[in-house]
Amino acid sequence: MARVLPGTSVAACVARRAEERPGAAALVVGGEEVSYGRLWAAATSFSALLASKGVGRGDRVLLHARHSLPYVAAYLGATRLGAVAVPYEEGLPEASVRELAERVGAAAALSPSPVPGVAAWLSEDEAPAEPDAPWEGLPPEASELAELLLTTGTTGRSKVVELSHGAVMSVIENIVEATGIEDDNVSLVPMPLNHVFALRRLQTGLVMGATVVLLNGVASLKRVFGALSGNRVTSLSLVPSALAYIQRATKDYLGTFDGQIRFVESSSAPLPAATRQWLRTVLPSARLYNSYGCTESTACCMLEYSHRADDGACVGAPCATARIEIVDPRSGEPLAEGAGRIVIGGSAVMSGYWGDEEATAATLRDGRVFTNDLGYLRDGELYVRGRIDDVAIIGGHNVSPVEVEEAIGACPLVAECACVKGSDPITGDSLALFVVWGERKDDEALAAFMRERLEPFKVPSVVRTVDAIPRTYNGKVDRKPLVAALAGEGEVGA
Amino acid sequence: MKLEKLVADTLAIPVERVSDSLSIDDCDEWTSMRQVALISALESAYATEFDIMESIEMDSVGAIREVLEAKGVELDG
Repeated sequence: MARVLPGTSVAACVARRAEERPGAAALVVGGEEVSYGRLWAAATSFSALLASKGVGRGDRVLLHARHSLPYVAAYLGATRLGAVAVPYEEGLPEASVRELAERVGAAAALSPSPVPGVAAWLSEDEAPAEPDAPWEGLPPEASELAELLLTTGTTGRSKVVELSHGAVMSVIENIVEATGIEDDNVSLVPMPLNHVFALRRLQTGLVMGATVVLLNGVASLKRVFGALSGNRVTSLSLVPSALAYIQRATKDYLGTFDGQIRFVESSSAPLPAATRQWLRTVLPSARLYNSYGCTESTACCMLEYSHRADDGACVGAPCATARIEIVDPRSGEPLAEGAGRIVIGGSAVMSGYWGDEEATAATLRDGRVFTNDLGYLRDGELYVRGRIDDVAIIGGHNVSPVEVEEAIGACPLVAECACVKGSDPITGDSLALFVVWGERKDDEALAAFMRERLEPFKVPSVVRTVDAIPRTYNGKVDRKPLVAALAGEGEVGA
Repeated sequence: MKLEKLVADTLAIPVERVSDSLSIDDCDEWTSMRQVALISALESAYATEFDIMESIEMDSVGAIREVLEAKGVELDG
């Protein structure tokens, strides 16, 4: 039976949890526990402060997305009074913050320092004091905007995605139903909180009245494992590159927590077979999930791969509120079989792109998001083959660089790799492989591995050694610099 | 200065920035991939191997120094 969420917005749910169990732990930040009562008090203080500065319904509020109580409380406080939260990447340069503020017409900003052109500034160092005049007003409707989120922009300029309270809650419903998250769960969320993956996992924990441990990244394994043991963490939400790092740096040490960790969830990028197998081996008791979606409609499919044979392309069945269709990439007509453009419908999809009617019209039709992903449905489950734009046509064959990456990534010599489409004067399209070597560089051994594992037309014609694969802040391969390097327009740095 | 130079070279930062207080938390260049590279570089430079717990501990230059000293490694040879 589907679980009923206790409100129509994240803020409403947190208010309810604060009323029911004010002493229960909502967050752990910097090693310190923050109760639901304290979190909600901080949120209402932010509401009052924003209102006193003239911020109201529909106004955009920039939020510097740090793993902190002020960030979470400001998000709740802003959305509570019907304003629109605009989280932005931690450490974003000031010029980029100004540009974003101008782009969305921000009325307020929670930021390290005042943002030129933004009337109201909120210090991010601490939550405001309890107000003399608390804000009291009508909560937002499900159809009203809750958030503006930036896409990661791995291809082209980032877009600003409009998400309603209803869409946000639909995603949370999907996560709750698919993972079976318990209300005494303690989740570790070390990923960037301006990105939809981590933001929704934070919100899901709070909506369920569970505890969320906030940590800024996984680079410090001391803090990761300290949090796991010190806070008795029962779930992890990590992007594939973070999981791969933990695997590479600590081998099977994560297995120490088998029996404690109830589930691990990943998203944002394809999850390599080697990583899946490692998790199955070190955490045999845990439920293992990989979800598929995009900022425009996240967590629309979820796969539990704990006990099933591997097919890296499978991302599972559509979640509770999602509908998946496959259409012809050119005509947009439904395809009865075969691979085509993935179209996502349901109540979790975006409302549009802020300030970009052309992009909205191109992507959102009849409440459905026409993605740039190539995939197919089989036995009710979705299989993703990469981005349509990235697919190379070689010798008449459609070749997904992601599929080639996954195959080559299994080579023991390769620490990580990325494959992009290039051009060839004879074949038209070609494939180029960028490799970060593991213990040693061995071009011949890699070539032999590729010949053994891949059809001839899938073997990259160019192989380049790099120090690191460029990634976005949420771990997704950033193909733009790779494509540029291939075209001789730059170098891939370390 | 051998340790400082190794850290600086691996993190691609000026050696002047490297002190015992430099940590993974306050150095943007100290990413997870560079942490892996740093462990490997330290093992090679000091002809030693770190176990998992030692690797986990080493999230600052000071912590690295302590782990190496505990292993009886001569730091500035």
